[in-house]
Amino acid sequence: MGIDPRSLLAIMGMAMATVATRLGGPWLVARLPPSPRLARWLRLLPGTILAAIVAPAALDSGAFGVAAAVVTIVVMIRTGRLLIAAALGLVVYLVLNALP
Amino acid sequence: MESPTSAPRLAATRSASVDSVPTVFTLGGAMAGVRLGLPIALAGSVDGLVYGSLARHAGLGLGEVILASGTVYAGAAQFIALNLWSAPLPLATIVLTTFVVNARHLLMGASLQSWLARLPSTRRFTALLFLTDESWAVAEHERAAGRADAAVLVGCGGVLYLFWVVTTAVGHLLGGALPSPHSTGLDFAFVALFAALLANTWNGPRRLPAWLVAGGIALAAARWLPGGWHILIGAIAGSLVGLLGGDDGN
Repeated sequence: MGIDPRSLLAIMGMAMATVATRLGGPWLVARLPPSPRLARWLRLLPGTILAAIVAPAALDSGAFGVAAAVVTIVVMIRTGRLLIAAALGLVVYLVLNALP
Repeated sequence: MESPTSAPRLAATRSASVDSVPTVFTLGGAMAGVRLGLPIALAGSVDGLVYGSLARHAGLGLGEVILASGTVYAGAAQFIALNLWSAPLPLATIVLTTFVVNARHLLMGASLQSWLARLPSTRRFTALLFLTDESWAVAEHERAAGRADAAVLVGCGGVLYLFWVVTTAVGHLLGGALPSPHSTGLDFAFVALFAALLANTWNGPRRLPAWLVAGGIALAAARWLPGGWHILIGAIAGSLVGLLGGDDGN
């Protein structure tokens, strides 16, 4: 269980950098002058953050990954059931990959 | 007589925007977060095992793995830092890389600001310390559904935290001989989860330009830039296009 002092420094530095990113977003926004345009931009963030996460990840998983992601998105838009849509997407991906 | 609740209620009837949902912070909200977080944490435990095992091969002791998972609690950054883990440890590079990889949290926190600003600062900081990709996305999902309980971040993030610390420690103890999650296809669970959460922000075709630009720029950035930049750059580009295109975000 021994911890090397330099490793300890590295881990503490990583922890502080990460906490700064976790607390920094709201801190920065609270210091910007509030405006309807800012509020509109902040409302657009969740969808675009998720699109930026999903697009490279789906493409990394190949054509079946893209297909399964599209199925997930369509099922979610139609049903609104988060875990069901995600589970179905995973099953579609696994089945497509298991086909001979 | 003035009711203290009349102002938020009036605001809520004026607009369906998420901005007007009042914020609460309750045990019930935390439990809802636990329920949503549990399947995500189970799917993520494979990643935890793999990180623990890789960390051991990179020379980290068990204590160091537990300390890293317990204080940093950020999977992507911890994985990338392992590539830099060679003596003498390049401290500045490790810390800077961690900041860049986690800079996406700045945007996630920013998107929650109007919601969390109504909480006392202790609760706000507590909720934010549990901010991860997954807990943030679950919180946005709950908020979009009109459930205004910010403790969902603590419940969901707390379960993920517990699983992350335990599974990374177990991965270190087991050492090698773990199947890669990529080879089993189970790592797609997270792609599917985030795809479903993405679909939850759909509000008709006017949303499409922002999505397409965010996804396209992120793809290009993931190909040509070092790890960590693509989410930040893609999301900023996409949201600005949506803003200029007149998408009001509701």
